[in-house]
Amino acid sequence: MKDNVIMKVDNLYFGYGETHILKNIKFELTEGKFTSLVGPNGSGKSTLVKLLCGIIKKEKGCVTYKNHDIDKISTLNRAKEITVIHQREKNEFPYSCIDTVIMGLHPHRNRFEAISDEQLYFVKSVMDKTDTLRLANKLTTQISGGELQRVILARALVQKPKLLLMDEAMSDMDVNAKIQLTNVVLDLVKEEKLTVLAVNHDLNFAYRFSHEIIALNHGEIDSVGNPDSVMDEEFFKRVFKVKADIIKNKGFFIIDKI
Amino acid sequence: MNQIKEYKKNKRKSVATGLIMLALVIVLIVFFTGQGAMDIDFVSTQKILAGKIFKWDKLLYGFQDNEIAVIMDIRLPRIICGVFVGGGLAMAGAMFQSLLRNPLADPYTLGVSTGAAFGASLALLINILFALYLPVTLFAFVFAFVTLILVIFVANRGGGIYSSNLIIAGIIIGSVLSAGISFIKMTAGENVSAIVFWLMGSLASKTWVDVYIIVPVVIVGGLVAYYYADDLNIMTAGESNAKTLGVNTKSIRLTYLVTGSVITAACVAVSGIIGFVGLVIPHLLRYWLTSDNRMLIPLSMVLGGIILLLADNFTRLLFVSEVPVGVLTTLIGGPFFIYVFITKEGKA
Repeated sequence: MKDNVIMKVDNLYFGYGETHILKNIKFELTEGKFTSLVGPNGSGKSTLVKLLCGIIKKEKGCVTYKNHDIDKISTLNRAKEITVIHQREKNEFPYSCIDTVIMGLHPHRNRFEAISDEQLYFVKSVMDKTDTLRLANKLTTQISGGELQRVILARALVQKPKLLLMDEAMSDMDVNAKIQLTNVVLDLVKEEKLTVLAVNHDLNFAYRFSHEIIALNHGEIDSVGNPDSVMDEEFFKRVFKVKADIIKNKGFFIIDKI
Repeated sequence: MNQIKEYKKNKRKSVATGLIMLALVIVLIVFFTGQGAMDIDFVSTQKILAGKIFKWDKLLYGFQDNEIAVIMDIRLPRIICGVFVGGGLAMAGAMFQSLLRNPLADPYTLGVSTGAAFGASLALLINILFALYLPVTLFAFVFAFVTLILVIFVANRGGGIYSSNLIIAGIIIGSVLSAGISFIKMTAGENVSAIVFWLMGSLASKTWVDVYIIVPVVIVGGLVAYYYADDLNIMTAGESNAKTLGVNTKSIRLTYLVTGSVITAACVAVSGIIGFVGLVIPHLLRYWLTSDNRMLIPLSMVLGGIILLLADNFTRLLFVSEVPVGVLTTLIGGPFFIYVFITKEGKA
């Protein structure tokens, strides 16, 4: 049986003026798969994420979501299906954590419709799963960076996405929280066929938890495939310019710069 | 579980506070109409108010025309203007802070108020020089709007109107207009005092015409602001996040820019520059109750009304020679601004 392709990217270019940040990007995202996007700083990962959700407009090429051009879907309809966690979330104002999570309901609510008990119960269950319920009535300006990332993840899940794009969504979390929340996301991938594309600098995490790896280097796709086939010694040398010792099925140690 | 209960309790607390403050506004309006240079006792004041408002002519029996005029045409319009100017400024402040994602923004940040002041000064100057009676309020309003369009035009760079661009454009255009006001003052020569007093901001000698300008603008503006309050909440999380959550950032930004500016323009046109109400009130409420604009906008309106009403009646009743209320609010509000600024730096 053929896998369900939810997002298709082909011949995608993006740049400012003469310089191209992204060149000839081509890949597909399959429904119910967790894909990690890896690559060195400045390789174009965040730009790619923004192009995939239509926040910036592509220069050339095509990005389609369920066979529709991403730039032609309205902001509201897009928000009903695709959720993005952007890098560096910052809100200057003291909103309570639960108010922040409830913002995730926005695309599914009519104006003036009060939040129903059912919706509140759903919010509560998501906050329970992401271990943010204890923070519910605290202010987002008073919690730690890792806690804030949990709250933002809870908000993203309340949005009930079919496709979740995460741009270093867990970078400030401790290792325990990372495992816990990655498992929350993976449960949704398994049970509700959620599709995930996560930008991840923690390569061991990407290796352990992803179904697929997409590696970017200098704005071009270096390699695509399952973690074992992509991440070999040669890959670390070529893309990250480091020497890595690979322990099959477990991960790797980065030993030294070359 | 109890977190949800607490959340609901917090919401109820905001609503209850709002209702209590609203009741307080009405009590204060009625109270202050009974206070002033002409000694009219409390019961008489109530009789005159009720008689006029509900058209019960028999209640007015026995009062002199000048007593009725003092209550109805001197005190009441000034008091109503105070409530709505204060409410309008605080509400516009809440909007601009959220919209510009800057807790230090206020209704005057975008220079719209300076535009209004420029228009008013110009009208006053022409009136002085050529002995005309140009409507100062209308001039203020028109120039405020022209300034807004100019600010948006200058800020509209790089594919959108971003908050940093808006603030820069507002500051630049504001300072050009300030220089223009100085020039007008210089040209006015010995007659400069009319302009200076207008600029200081005062609610003295407001008439029903001013009430008819400010009340509809603040009410309609408030309803528009309330209608899109959820989107405004999300806008505070930034452009990308707002788009991700399904907010049409372009139209929401324009809606609030125009709404906030029209309210500000009406306030300035009616009463001159009254500082710091628009900065301080939303701040107090955010730390005291909530940042949720659905609550914050109506709460700002009510508390802003209370504070300006109190300040204005303070200057009206306690000083022998009346101090413009704009001076008073700035004298008190200035130190508060510094406090906000210092604590914010400490946190970052």
